[in-house]
Amino acid sequence: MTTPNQVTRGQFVSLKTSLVNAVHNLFERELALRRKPTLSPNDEQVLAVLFAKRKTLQNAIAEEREAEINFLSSPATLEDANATLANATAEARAQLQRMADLQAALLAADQIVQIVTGLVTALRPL
Amino acid sequence: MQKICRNSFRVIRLTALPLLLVACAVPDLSGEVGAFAAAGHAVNTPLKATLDARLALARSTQITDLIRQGHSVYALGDQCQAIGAGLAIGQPCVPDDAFTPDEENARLIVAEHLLASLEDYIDAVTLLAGSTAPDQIAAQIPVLTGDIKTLAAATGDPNLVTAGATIDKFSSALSIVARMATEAARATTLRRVVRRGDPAVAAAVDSLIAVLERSGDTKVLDLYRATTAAETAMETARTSGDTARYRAAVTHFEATSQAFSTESQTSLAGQLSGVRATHAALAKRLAAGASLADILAFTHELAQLRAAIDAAKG
Repeated sequence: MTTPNQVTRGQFVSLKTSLVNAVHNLFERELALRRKPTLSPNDEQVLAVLFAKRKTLQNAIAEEREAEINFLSSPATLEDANATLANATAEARAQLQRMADLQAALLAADQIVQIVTGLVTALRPL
Repeated sequence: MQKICRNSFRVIRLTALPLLLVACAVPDLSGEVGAFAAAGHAVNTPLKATLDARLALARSTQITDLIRQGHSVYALGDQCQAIGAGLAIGQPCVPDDAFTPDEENARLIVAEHLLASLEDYIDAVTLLAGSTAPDQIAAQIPVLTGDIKTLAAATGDPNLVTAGATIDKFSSALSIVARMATEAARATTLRRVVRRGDPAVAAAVDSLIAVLERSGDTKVLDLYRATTAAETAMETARTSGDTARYRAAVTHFEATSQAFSTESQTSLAGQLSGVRATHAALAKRLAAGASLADILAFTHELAQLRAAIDAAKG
């Protein structure tokens, strides 16, 4: 089951991934130009446009990350993360307890058998 | 490995069962669990110290504001009255806060709880993965069956003596099955706990990193901004025709991007990311390991093998 916080987390990740991919595409084109031995005036113009676009997207990444930091560090989100982690821990501990209970039951059964054996041995001469 | 295990079951000899059981029933997770636990414990102490310091500062700041505004700060609570009345001497007197923590204070308090939960989870997974319960349970079965056999002999009843012999005959099979059952339960639980825990660990790590970023203890975002700005300055200098300015801008960019990289890798946030990465590796390993179906198939093969051996013995 997804919680509202998970939806919001997913939205941030999705948006940031889109921005990073868009930056990557611009960067690839930019790099191809920069690696040319010489740049024509037209190349420089294209380069300037690509660079400006990339900077706009990089600013958007930073702003988005800042918004995400504010969301993730809010007391409500922290409480939500804490509760989810505590549930996972409780399940692990419950299983450990079940194994300990089984060990204890076997030990108890063994002790009962030993007691009965002792009684049988003691009563036998009678 | 799973295929090898399945094939081995068909030709197995009873004496090799325990060895095969260890190899096939549950994947060896000691490396993954160890890496996860080490990453978690390594970051816990410095992170706790950082959060403690931030919390003390946030609390002190709020108290200063409350005093300035003439609001309540403390009230002498029940425990202190009990000490005064001689009912609880030896106990600490901790005055109650007469204010609600502000958002910054609350954030750090919950972040400390979250860090404690993360440590608790790491301990639980480590205990579950390293539990010796299956071995101990398996060891207990022969002890129990041995005692039942002794009881049967003590009574001298021929029927019980026969029953004792039968119990003795199946004792080792019982041990193996008991161990398999507990191993299977452990494997299933580990797989479920880690699979469900993975997004929980990721969420916890993300939130703790966000707290560090917000408090300024980690500066990954700040340095990202500084590096993008340094890149802009470098590009502007490149097209300016001023070589000295360009050289200085390149030097500045190199230093800034290096600082950004170092912060990403070595800050507390970077170490926390290691916790998430090692847990994800554990989840992946568990998902690829022996399945419960394999373990149950092994149980089925074992039963058939046992029946065949018994039939051959007549």
